Order: sequence, then structure tokens, then C-alpha cells
Amino acid sequence: MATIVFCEDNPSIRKLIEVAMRGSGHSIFLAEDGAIGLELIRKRMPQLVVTDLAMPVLDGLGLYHALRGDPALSSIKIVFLTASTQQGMMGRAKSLVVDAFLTKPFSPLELRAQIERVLAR
Amino acid sequence: MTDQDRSQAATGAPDPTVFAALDGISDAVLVRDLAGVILHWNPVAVRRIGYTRDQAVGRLWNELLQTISDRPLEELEAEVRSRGTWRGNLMHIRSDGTVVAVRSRWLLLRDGAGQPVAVLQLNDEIERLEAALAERRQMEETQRAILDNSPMATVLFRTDLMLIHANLSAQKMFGRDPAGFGSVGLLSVVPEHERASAADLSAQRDATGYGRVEMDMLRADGSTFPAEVTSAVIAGSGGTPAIINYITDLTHRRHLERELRASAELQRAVLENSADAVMLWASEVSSDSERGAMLVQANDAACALFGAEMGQLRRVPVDALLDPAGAGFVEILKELRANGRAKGEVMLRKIDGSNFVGDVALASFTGPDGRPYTSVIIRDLTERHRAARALEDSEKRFRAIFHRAPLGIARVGLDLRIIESNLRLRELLSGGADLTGRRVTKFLTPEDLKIVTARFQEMIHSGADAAQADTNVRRDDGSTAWLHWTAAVFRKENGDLDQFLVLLEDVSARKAAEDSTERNLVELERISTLKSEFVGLVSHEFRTALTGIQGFSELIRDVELEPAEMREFAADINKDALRLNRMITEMLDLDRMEAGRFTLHKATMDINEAIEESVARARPMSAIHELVTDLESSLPSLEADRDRMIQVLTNLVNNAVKYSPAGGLVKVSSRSSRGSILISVKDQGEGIPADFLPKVFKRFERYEASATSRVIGTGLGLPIAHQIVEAHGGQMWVESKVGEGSTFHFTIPLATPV
Repeated sequence: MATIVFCEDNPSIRKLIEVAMRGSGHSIFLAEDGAIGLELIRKRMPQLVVTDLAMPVLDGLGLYHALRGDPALSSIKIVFLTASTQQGMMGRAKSLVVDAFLTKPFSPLELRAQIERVLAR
Repeated sequence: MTDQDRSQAATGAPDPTVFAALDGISDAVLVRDLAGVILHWNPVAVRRIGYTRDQAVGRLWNELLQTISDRPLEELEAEVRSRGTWRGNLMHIRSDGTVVAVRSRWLLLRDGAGQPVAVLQLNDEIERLEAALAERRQMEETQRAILDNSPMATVLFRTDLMLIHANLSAQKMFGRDPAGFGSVGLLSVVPEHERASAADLSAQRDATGYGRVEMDMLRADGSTFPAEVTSAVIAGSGGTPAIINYITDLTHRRHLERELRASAELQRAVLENSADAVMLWASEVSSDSERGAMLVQANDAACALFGAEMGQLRRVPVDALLDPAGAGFVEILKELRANGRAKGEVMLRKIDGSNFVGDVALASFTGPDGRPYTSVIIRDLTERHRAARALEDSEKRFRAIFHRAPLGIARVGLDLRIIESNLRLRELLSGGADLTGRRVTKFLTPEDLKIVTARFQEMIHSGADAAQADTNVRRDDGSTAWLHWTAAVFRKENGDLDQFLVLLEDVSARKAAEDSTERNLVELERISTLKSEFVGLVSHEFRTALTGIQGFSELIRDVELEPAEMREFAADINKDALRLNRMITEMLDLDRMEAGRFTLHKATMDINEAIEESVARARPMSAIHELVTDLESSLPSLEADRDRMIQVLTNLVNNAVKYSPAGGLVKVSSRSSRGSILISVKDQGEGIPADFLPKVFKRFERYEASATSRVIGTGLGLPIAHQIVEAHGGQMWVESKVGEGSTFHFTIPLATPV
């Protein structure tokens, strides 16, 4: 059983994630932006962080660098989950080493299956 | 001989003076009396026969000379006594014993009474005679050789027309040997049609001993050639008259004559067809005395020039063709008298009295007949004068074009000083003041001075013939203008630079337009980038909304759910669908508004009530913001589209909340102000930097303070609000300071302006 932190600013999508992960057996934590997410991560020390890219306060890229820059957190697996098509942000995100790159809209069941695969590695 | 005879002889002896006369004769002479005694013995006889006079005189002649004759001497004696003369050949023995043969002539001499007294014997030596004959034959042969080898064809015949001789030249000329000339004089070489000419020649010769004709002559081969025949009667050998004919072939001379004639005709044709009028006057042409000058010849051009036939011209005196008032003619005549030739422009008069200007060349000369002539060549200058006038007119026109051209034009010297400038250039640079002598460089800014100077140096030194550039010039009044100038090099005839022609055009307007176009282009590029970003942003929003719709619908379809949960998910789907729809509507609205295809549904409304509703709707959005209203009571009602007003207010309030993430006060107020109602929405948010303020109402513009502080939205809210307010005849603006917050204002006029 794993601990997973999700960062997503859209409430509708947070709800969808929560429903999708219901019954997976993992401990699920949801944050509405990167800053809140980082706080949660430090507290819960998850095996996996799934994060949106475009978020207020601290976006997905900022969160990535915060995790990779902190030796205590650098081993946490990261999955980007984004609706972005903007060249700049996508370009920067694609150049980073992450465990998976998922795009919105997504299938809830597929999301769950992907997360299981990343955790199994 | 008897004594009587001797006495008779002595008494009847001729006068001794007669004997002296006999001494001068070239024959050997002896005189003897009838008895045979020698009375006289001349010096030739002394020399030729040998005996001296003393030895001979007194002796019997036949004893002394031992004369031998083919007849008995008595017979000879009897013959001279009876006839008075005898002639025959005899042989005498000289004193040295040699024999001399003589031709001897005896004459019986009589006294005054007619009685015979003596015999004169003349003895001519036969050998001498033959030597003379031989000499004569030799001379004849020489003459014949000369004759034969003479280049002059010579035919000699007797008066009875028998051929004596035809020399080699004649044989060659006629292609005949001497026999070919026959015995009919020249007739064998005279063709049938020239018989009359031959008869004429004979007649001339018979009359005067000499004749000359030109006629065709006949060769042996039947061909004929023109010839001159000179015929004369001469004394032939032995005194027999003969006829000598010299024949000269005229073929070559005729050929020359033809050529000469052709050449003369050609000259005449040239003269006749000359474009210049050519006239020939007998005697000198002069203005006063010599009215007698007579026109000998005038070509067609001359007739045409004076407008007269040759016949008319002949009757007109010289000075009638001159305009007496015309200047210069007297001088020309003076020059003609002084130098024999003269030329110049003079006024001339046509037959009809009209005048024209001619370029006249006169020359006096003495003709082949020894009389004075004057040749006159006249070139009509009317056309040239007309051309000169046309040139003058053209010059004036070009000058006018130069001065009135809408382009600035200047002639500029190599020192870059203006030599001449037109009106437009003076307008462009000096407010109309004269520019002559001013340096071009005075009008240039320091940076353009280098460029322009370099261009002119290039033309001066490298042989470039033109240059052009756009240059910013400083006018005399201190203002600047962009001039496009083109300079062209004018060269002297030897190729050296003379000056420049410079055309200048005010291109300030074009420059401004180009700059503006450039700015527009930059702006368009920026908008294009913004638009791309907007498309990215919109699709992000669409995908976010679709994520809920797709995810929840999939759960409903694939997962066992409680009915209540299912309804909840359906509500989420519905909410996202509405949001999607709203975004699409906003985009389309803005497009319609900007295209002017946008209808307002105006009705009487209370703006304060609309403000309260909008604030009430926004309140649940955020717990950290305090939303308050400050409304002026009893505001007049508005004629406006209520839904659109709510849209504008909602947008401004939502923005106020969105852009003050730290929370704070959001205050919406209303005031009446100069026929309008002023509504303001004030927040305590991040504020908008001054450089972004002009852009906030433009499409696609959305202020992002930093990459890490993003506000999600399409960026269409403010442009839409702005369009709605303007559609109501109002205005919208913003006041903001970074860190202190922003206040958005808009006005709606109370009565829609007419």
C-alpha cells in the first residue's frame, strides 16, 4: 500500500481523482495548488506525487524542482497530469525526468491503472 | 683641122667671161672650136681628168683625151652640128692613163650671127652619178624603214590609186598585208557607208593638196573602227606625185570623249539635283552698277527657292532678288570684290515679293571663254530659323517645367554649391528664398552629411553616373523632412565632370507611413503570438472542462454507483458543460461585438439593483474577500441592456477577486456624474504595472505577474465588458498601482446621445 499526493487546482477534477482512486487501498491526499501539495508531501512522505502543471501559487514545474532539489524528497516518483497545450510550459515539462506524463481529459480507470504501473516499477 | 677653121674659131671664140662662168659648174667642162682645138678647160676637168689647163688648151680634144665611143666621133660631130646638141656616154683616158666613163652633153655654141663657133662639152662622171644614186637609194631605204616602223599608220599610193606602200602600223591596224590593200587607194579599207566621207577626202585633197576627215574604217575581219584620215599629195621618187595617208585610230579618243561627256553630265546632274540653289551669272554680280549681270544657269532648287521658272528668273535683274533693306549684302559684295569669294546670311526676295533668309556663298571666276562669271550657292535658312525658334520655345517650355515641377530640382556644382534651384526646392528647404550659391551640406544633419558627401565623392572619383538616397534634411526654419534625392552627373564634351543634376522629393509622409507600417507589423506579430497563446489557453480550459465531463460520464457508465452519487456526478458533468458553453459564448460574443454585429436589448433599469445582484452572486466565490457596495441613492433609471450590465459588473467583481489572491476589500460604488452614471470597482490586489494599463481592454491580453502566480481564464472578460460599455455610449478605464490594487471605472450616459 502506497501513499500518494495529488495536486490539482480544479475542484471538479480533484473530485474525479478521489472517486477514481476510491477502493485502491492507497492512502490518497489531495492539494489545490503546489504550495499546499509541498506541505502535504513533507508531512506524509508519499511514494508518488501526481501533479497538474498550471496551478496558482506554485505550479507543477515549481513543485518538481522543489522535490528534486530536496535530498529528502528527491526519490519520490512524479507523474505530470496536464491539459496544457502551451508550447512553453509543455516544452519545459517534457525535458524533465518524470515517471509518467498523463494528459487531460483522462479516463479515471486508466489513471488508476497507470498509477499502479508506476508504483510497481 | 684647117687653118680657116682655126681662124674662124679664133675669131668666133666666145667671150672669156663665159668661160669664167663655166668654172663654177660641177661637171668637167671643155670648150673646143669646130676644128676640135680645146679653147677652155675648167678646174673640175683639171681635177677629174688630170691635165692642167695649160696642158689642155690648144690641143685637139680627141687626141688629148683619146676618147672612146660606141659610135664614130664623126657621127657625133655631125649630130651636134645639125641638132645643136648631143648627149651620150663616152670614155676618156686620164693623164695618169686610167679610164673614166662620163655622161657627156654637147652644146653647139653660135656667135651673134647664129654661126656655129664652138662646142661645149659637159662631162659628168658616171661612177659619181651611181654613187649619188646609191646614196639616194640608201636614203629612201632609211625613209622606208622609218616609215615602216612609224607608229602612225601610213598608206602611200600613186595618183592612179596603185598601192606604193602600207607600213607595219597600217598593216596591223587593218589586219592586212600590203597585198590586202589592193589597187584602189584607200577604198579597200573604207566601209560601204563611209564612201561619201572618202569622196570628201579626195575632193579636199584635189582642191588644196591636203584633206582630213573622220570616218569609220574597215578591218580585214569586217569590223570597223573610228579613225581620222589625213591625206596629202607629195612629190614621190623621181618627181612622180604620190598620195600619202595617215590614219589615226580614234577608238580610244572616242572612249575618252564619251567618258568626259558622261562626267560632265554627271556634274550637271549633281548641280541640277543639289538641295542647295545653284546659280551662275555672267559678269560679276554687284549691287549697283552691273545690272547687266545675266543669269546663265540655275538649278531646280534655285527655281523653287525663288518661286520662278528658269525663263522668269532670266528676265529678273540680280538686285531684284536681293532685299535692298536686308542687312549684310553690301558687306558680302565688298568681300567678293576683294577676295573673289564671299559668304554670309542675307535677306533674299522671291519672285512674289516675299522675303526669306538665305546662307549665300559667292565666287567670282573667269570662264573658259575668258569672261567673268559669278557662281551663287544659296541655302534656304527659313527652316533653320524656324528650328531655332522652335528650340527657343522648347527651351522656354523646359525652363517652365524645371521651375514649376512638383519635384525639387537643382543644378549643383562640383563644390556642392547650388547653381540653380527651382521653386519647389526653395519651398522644400528655404521657405522660398533663393538658394543660389548655398552649400548642399548646410541642410544636412551631421550623420547624413557623411553619407551624402560619400555618395557625391563616389560620383566625382569612381565614375559612377548617378546616386540616390533618402536623407533627413534640416530646413532653414529648423524643421526636418525626409527627402529622397537622385543625382545625375553632367559631363563636359571631353568627358570631365561638369556639374550634378539633383532631383529631390519630399518623402516625409511615405517615411511616416513606412514607420507606421513597420510598427503595425510588429503589433500584428505580437497579436499573432498572443492569439496562439490564447488558442493554447482556450484549449487548456476546454480540456479541463472536458476532463470532468469525460471522467464522470465514464464512471457513471463503468462503475456501480449509488443513485445519489450518480446524480451528483451528473450535476458535475452539467456544471462543466455549462462552463464550456459559457466560454464558447464569450468568444463568439466578442467576435460579434468587434465585428459590430451585436444587439442590445435596452430597457429601463436600476443600476444599483444590478450591482447588488452581481456582488451577491460573487460573494460565495471567496471567503477571504470582503465584497461591499457604496451606492448613491435615488439614481435616475438607465436605458440599458440589463443582462449585459450584469455581465460587465460580474466580470469586474470576479477579476477583483481573482487578482487579489491575498484577499481584501472589493468595493463597488455608483455615482451620477455629468449626465452619466459612474460605476467603480476597487480592489486591494496586486495592481497592474503602468506599461500594461493601455492593453487591459484589448483582446487576448491578460496580465500575468509571474509564471508561478497564474490566474486561469480566457482573457476575454475585460474586452467584452469594454465593448458592452462602449455600445451603450459609455466609457471604461482603469486606475492602478502595483501593490496597492486597481480601480475599474465605467460610465453609462443617462440619455443615449443622438
